Amino acid sequence: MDLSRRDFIRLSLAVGAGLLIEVRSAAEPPDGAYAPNAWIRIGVDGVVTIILAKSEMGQGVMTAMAMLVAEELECDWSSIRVEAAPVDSVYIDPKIGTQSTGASWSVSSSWRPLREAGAEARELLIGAAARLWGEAPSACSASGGFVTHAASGRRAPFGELSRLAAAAPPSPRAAVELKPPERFTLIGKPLGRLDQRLAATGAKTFGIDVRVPGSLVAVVARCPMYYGALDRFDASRALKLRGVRGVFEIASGVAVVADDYWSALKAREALTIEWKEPRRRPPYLDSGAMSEGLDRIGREAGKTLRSSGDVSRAEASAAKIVEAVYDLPYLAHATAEPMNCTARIGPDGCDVWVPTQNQTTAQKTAAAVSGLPLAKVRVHTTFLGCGLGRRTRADFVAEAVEIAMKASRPVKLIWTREDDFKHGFFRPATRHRLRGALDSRGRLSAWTHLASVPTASPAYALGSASFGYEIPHVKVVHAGMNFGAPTGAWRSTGYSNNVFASESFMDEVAHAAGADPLRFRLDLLRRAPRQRAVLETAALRARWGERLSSGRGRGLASFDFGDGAVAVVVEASVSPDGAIRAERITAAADCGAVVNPGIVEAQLEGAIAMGLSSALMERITLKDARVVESNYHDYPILRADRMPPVEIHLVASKAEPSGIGEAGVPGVAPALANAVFAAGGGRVRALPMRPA
Amino acid sequence: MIVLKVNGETRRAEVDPETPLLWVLRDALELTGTKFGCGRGLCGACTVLVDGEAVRSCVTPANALAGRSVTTIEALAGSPEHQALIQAWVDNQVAQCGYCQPGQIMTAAGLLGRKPNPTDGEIVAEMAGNLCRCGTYNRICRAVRSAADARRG
Repeated sequence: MDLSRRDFIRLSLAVGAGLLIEVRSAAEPPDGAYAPNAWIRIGVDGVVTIILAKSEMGQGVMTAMAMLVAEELECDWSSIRVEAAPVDSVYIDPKIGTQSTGASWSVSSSWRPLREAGAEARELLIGAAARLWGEAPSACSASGGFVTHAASGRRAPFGELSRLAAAAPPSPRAAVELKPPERFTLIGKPLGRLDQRLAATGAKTFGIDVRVPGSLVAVVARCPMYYGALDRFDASRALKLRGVRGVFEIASGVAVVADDYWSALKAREALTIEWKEPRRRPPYLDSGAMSEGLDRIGREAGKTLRSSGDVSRAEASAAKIVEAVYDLPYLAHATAEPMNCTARIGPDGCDVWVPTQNQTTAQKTAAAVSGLPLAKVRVHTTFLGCGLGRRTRADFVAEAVEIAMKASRPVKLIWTREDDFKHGFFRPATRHRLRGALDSRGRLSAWTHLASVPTASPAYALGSASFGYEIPHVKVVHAGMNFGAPTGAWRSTGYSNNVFASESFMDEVAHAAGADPLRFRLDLLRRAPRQRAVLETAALRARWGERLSSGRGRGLASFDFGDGAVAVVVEASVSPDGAIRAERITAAADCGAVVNPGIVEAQLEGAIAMGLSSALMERITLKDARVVESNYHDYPILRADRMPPVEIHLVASKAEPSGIGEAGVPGVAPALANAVFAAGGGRVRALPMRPA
Repeated sequence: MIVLKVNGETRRAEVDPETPLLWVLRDALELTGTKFGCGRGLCGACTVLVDGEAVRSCVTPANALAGRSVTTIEALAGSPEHQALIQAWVDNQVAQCGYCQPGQIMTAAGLLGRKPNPTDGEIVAEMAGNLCRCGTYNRICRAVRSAADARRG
């Protein structure tokens, strides 16, 4: 697709659904459309354009955000278009503090502001109509893209009113009243996603599909080991190859630019590069040394996250002490679309077209590399072929901008799949030591969880200390220290590590107490009604307690997620030779008010698949400060033949939305491990398991 | 220079003759609906039809396709014959990020071309060649089933 007009770039054009996602430069006048605020433009043709400050990476955020605005705006749903926002302080996520998408926060942080934006625009249109007709605004109402004066039967379409509203003198922003939920007409309905037909026709365009006129394609050879550096390279063979336009040293290695991807890749293979090993590097950049390293930081770097009662005293008087250690590996994101970024530097500044989850970081990075002020850097957010946390980073933006500068041409940088695995920002490998005390009546009296994590990021402390179980004596300690291997947010961050350990251990404790794992948990959840409700729902729907054939078992996990709660029941089979298979998965979730139940269900389904994939088969191995895995043959991910039937139940809630995009991931691994135990397959304390 | 028949038209491209079909489609012919996923024929994102059969275009040299007919998602999406398949994807709200879905649909089209009424087991076995990191597998298989059923009427 050619991006031929300088300032107006149409990234994707819908068929049928009438959806348009456009990327504009911030400076562009909005085609004579009326912009009541930063989130909405209304054209004279009645088309309502919603400005999307979130990154659409599969979670359906484009549709959900549009629903929030449209609910209050009272426009016609079919008149909606969505356009990616430029970088601007008005689009900063209030919960995250940057213009970015992550932590399952999009709906919760937009729940009020976007409905208010819609309501404000509606009131301005009503005001314009009221002035036109000489009526009181309170006598007029909006619905279906029209303002109506009921008493006289007059009505005017939004498109017509937009001109009048635009010409009206600006009035101070008044407080708007939001609809009570019982009057919602869109929120709560499973509307089809705005980008669904685009995806099914190949017309959904991702970062990798962007083509700027005159651009070259770049690939980069990067140092294969951590803390190594470029020593020297010889590009003479590469430069003789067809289509090759240049070879440049850049901060991260050696970049080849060529007319097309294949020529660039062949030229990269023809480079002779020598890399320098560092004189010294941090220890533990080897999976074989992880246990030692994690035990060490467990002793040295612990920070207490939760402490109540007196664990030592409870343990001293306990009838039984249960202890276990759980280990999780480093994991790659393996986003469907490999990392890429298109950059152009011109007299008017720098443009980057990028599938990014973090526009703030992308802009800052491009500015730092190019030396341009922030105001001269325009970030055009494309659709993302998965984000999963990987695209919160801007390493690929830095590379693309540097290469574009050195090549003096617009450049599309594409990573190979091997690049993606070798240079990922992994979910950290973690070790968890848990200890529980049972009193003489079999009640859980004390709980200790020490998590050791090879990153200082607080995101990996999530999920260990917030549980709703009522336990008299608790100590949760998080020890985080950077080991030097790049780590980063991976869908649900610390929840997926910590919940595997804590919910596996809760199962072990229940069995040690001779109790049913469901009953045992419910007894501890008397003061956590939301977690209790999802657990009861999932257990009921999964027929918890009903007999299964030999070699089969059910396991469950329940946990808080933000203000909400999730419970997962897995039914698993274990073959006589120990091969494990998830046979069916039932999940219940309470994520507060639901904007689009169809999308929420799909998100849970998909996250469950990712949780299952990681539990069964995913592992990044480090050897001599290098990543061993390179592509899907040695880093397999779940395929259709291992995907069990999944049943989702949403527990109705009047609470504000709490987030769902990641919530399906954490419960699967522990529920599966617990099911394997119930099936007679033994206790799984290290991931990945052995799939059938 | 290579000559290919793509979506019913004869197309010429000035590329290294060993260039995989994927990159001829994407870079030379600007048919970007076919996606790059792994470059090794492992993930299926690059699947196209060659004479009606699903093929991994990332490991198929373009110069091996003389006299054969290549169909990409762009043409499939517009062909009346495949509307049931596209519609099944929309009706089942299959796609999440959507990146792998053109490849999924091409694989499904290949299967249904060969076997208009596959069993559920055959659908799963065939679709297991295509990765989806968003985990849309159950919906993919449901969509293939309903497309097959719709075409039988």
